[in-house]
Amino acid sequence: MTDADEFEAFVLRYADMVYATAVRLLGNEAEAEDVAQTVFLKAFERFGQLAASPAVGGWLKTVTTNACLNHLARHRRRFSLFSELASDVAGDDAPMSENDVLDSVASVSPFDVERADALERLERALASLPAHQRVPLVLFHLEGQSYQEIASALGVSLAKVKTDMHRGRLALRRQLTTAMEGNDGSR
Amino acid sequence: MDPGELERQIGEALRKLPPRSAPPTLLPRVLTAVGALPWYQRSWFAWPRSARLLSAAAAVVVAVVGASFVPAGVEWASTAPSVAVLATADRVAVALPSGVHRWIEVGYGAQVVWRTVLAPFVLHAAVLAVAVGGVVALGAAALSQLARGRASA
Repeated sequence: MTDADEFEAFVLRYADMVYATAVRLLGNEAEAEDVAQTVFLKAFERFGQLAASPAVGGWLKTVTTNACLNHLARHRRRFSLFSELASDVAGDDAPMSENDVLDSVASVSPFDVERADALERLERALASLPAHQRVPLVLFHLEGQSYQEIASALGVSLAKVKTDMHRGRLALRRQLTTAMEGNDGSR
Repeated sequence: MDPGELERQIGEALRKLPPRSAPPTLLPRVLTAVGALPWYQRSWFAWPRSARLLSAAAAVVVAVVGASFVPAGVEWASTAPSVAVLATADRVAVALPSGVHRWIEVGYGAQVVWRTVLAPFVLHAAVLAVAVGGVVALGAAALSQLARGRASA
């Protein structure tokens, strides 16, 4: 097996993992493909050390996450700015009081994620969230990072991460229940 | 439902999302981009043989030249500061009370021990560390190549 064949096998082995991480963090398939390509180019430059390393999966995950955060910060210039603008308009940055939290949760009815099309809707709902809500949710629930790690990776306060994530969860839940009520009504 | 329950439900739902497959266009894109990379941006093992030989020779030259400077550097470090310290100490000692003189003598003694016993040892230890480090690095590179060969076999 030549080096080129070895690298091709390497890309085939890890392409789904790298792409899945990128597409869920970025919420955009074309941008996720660009980032995945960049990640594999970096891997190729260090292929001599990576190929035999048992930690290659973790390395790829970390590099993909960092590449996505850089992409959001550099290319969109909205990750922090957008979040700040949104907070100015909607008071998004203000921490929620305990009553706000209880009211907002109480207003949302439960949803059934086991239904056949619910996961597809959840995927779409996740992609449609603004980056400052989607990214911490993906890092927390799918990449297993702690609140503190997320706050430090994004360069924002712990309180902001928690508030953004709570609002993101509420938005996901609302989108799912609304869609299901619409479906039930049309049946 | 409390916020903790919402967190649990959303977390469970997100973890049930099916795995996403990379588009079929990703592999050809990556391979094309890799093919366009200049040789010096690739892994050292993928460099042309002539470039690998040249870079290895350059590394040896740098190591030898660096090692030849080590004895002079260590000698300078062990003597130059001590000369300055001794001269300063002589000047200061004149103005100091007699009790302090004993400490200055202890300092002189320490200087002598450093120059005659410790400094040569440090020099040889440094040279030995560089040599052992080089051998270990070469061994690691050879083992890594061997492991890659076995993995691909």
